[in-house]
Amino acid sequence: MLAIEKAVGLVATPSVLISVFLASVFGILIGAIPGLTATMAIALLVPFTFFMDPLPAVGAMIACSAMAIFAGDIPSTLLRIPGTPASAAYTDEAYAMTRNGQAETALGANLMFSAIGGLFGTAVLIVAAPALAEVALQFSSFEYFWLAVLGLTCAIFIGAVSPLKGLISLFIGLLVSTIGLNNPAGVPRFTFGYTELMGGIEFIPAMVGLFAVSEVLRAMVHGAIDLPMTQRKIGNLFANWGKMVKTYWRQQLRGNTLGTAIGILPGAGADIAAWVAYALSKKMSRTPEKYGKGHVEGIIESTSANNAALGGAWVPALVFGIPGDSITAIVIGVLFIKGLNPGPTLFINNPENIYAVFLIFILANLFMIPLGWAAMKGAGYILRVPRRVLMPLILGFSIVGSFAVNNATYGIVIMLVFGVLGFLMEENEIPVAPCILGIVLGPLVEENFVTSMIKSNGSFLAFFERPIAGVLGVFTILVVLSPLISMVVRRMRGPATKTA
Amino acid sequence: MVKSDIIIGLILTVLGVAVILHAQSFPDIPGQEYGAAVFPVIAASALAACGLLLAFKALRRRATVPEGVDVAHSMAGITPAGWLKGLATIALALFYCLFSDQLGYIIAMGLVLVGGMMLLGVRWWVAILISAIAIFAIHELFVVLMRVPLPRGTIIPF
Repeated sequence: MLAIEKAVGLVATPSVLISVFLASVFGILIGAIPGLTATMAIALLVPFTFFMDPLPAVGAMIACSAMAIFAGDIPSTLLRIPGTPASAAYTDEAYAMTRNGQAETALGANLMFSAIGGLFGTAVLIVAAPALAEVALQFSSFEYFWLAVLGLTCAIFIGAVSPLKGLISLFIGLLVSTIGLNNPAGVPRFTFGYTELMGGIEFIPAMVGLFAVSEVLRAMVHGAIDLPMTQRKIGNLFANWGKMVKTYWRQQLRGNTLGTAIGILPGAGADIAAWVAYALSKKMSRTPEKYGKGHVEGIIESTSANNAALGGAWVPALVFGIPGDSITAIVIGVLFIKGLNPGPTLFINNPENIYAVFLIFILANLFMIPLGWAAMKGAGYILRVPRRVLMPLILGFSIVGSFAVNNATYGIVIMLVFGVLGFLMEENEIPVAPCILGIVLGPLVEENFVTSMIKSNGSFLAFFERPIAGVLGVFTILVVLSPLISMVVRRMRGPATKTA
Repeated sequence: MVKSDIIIGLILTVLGVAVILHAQSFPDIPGQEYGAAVFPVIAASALAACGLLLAFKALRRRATVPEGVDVAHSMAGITPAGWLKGLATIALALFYCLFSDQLGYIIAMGLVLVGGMMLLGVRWWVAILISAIAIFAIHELFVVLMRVPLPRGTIIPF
């Protein structure tokens, strides 16, 4: 109990509470503005966390991401533009409700079930993470290698439009991570004589470039268009809460469980959870014909799932240091900078820090209700912020934030290079998220790979000799081969359906 | 989509091969087989292979897709003015890198913000007003609160 008491003491300080609160407001604003994603909110927040103590920094990022994922539902419901990819699964459904004049029911459902989903995910995190940490203590470089590879492959092969383009993005990220002195051999690589490159590519400016500057460039090139709102007045958000919980508690529970489970998988996060939950809800529903025409059932299940997934995604992030999605990838990068290396030892050496993180999770989901209410009531104003003013401001903010990391112009150059790279990648439908996973996980993969190869005298079979490593290895290979397998199955079925 | 995939695939292949060749110059660790070059070579080979596969798949698609029915590429819809605005944005950020030390944060950032907003068609006085507020807010946040030494400038130091 001592650790929990200590944790309460750590959280109940003005600096933690204020940063959690401000980050929540920031997350809601960014998440609610169409076109600005939860990942961008985190990317813009990171330069600030650089100057904070570890706990307020982590707390700010947790709160910001939870709020931004939830707030993505607001433009999704009112404008049919998902604020973040995690809302995309039920955008059409929610917008159909708005057209029927039921925007407040949809928004109210989003608010309540997001908060409950978040709390559910947190509860699982609290129970599962320490137990898994016990297991993780026995892991060697072989298991960590497979875990890291599994995280990377899941991110690419589950739910990606084109696995090949995801892979390309990943390998670009992995190559970027090899720049500099930071490798097992301590040899300068790809520095071309520039001393600035010796330290490697700074993670923060690279991320600000990939997620924020690329978006600014897109708005500049394609034009910054503002969209009209269908329903301007938002009625009583709390009106149907009791009835919805009573009618749809099954959907809620199923969404929570499914979302948390998907979140725990390394490499799969909130957006995939929402898609799967929506599809499952339609399949299990007694009235599937109502789906797509403005029916709250599917919204409840998938909004329960995406916020629960966020808690789930932190399980592999904290226990193994393997990110579940691009947001946890960024946070893991920051944890390393702060010297709080994620992994099982974190649970043993500093349990109070872990409990403090859990407390912040609960706090963030409780803040969500009043702040979310305020944001929905003020949605008319937030959604009307013109993008042509916003985009240059984001550029200015990115420039100062990238400079601040080392007080050097070099950071701005990195930001700009990655901004252009991110823009070109997205224009060609190459996703950016695997690239950031590659940059964060690259050193981990390399170190564990090289260590394992040296230990086993170059025998690749050693990667399958330990039982857990063997299972992880086979599972990873199956995931990698899954597109191939499904292609073969389709080919075999193809002629049969044609003759039928 | 087809033509761009072929071009990108080939660029990535060339990049991968270049990295592999460059990695040969990394020194070996005496007595060890797995040195600094191993991992970059694996990643670069995989990138080159993916590039080839992307180009190859696009070529095969091109054979089946009739002329002129290619899926629209999102970059094809960009007007010359759009391209110029994109380049101008990059130029604004580079301008800040090059001249913020002399001009100081306030003037350099002012030019970036006002320039960016006017590129997107914001009226000049609105742009100046909002930029002034933003510059003040960023200054308070970064210089006063976080003690980041933003460049003060050598021409009009303040």
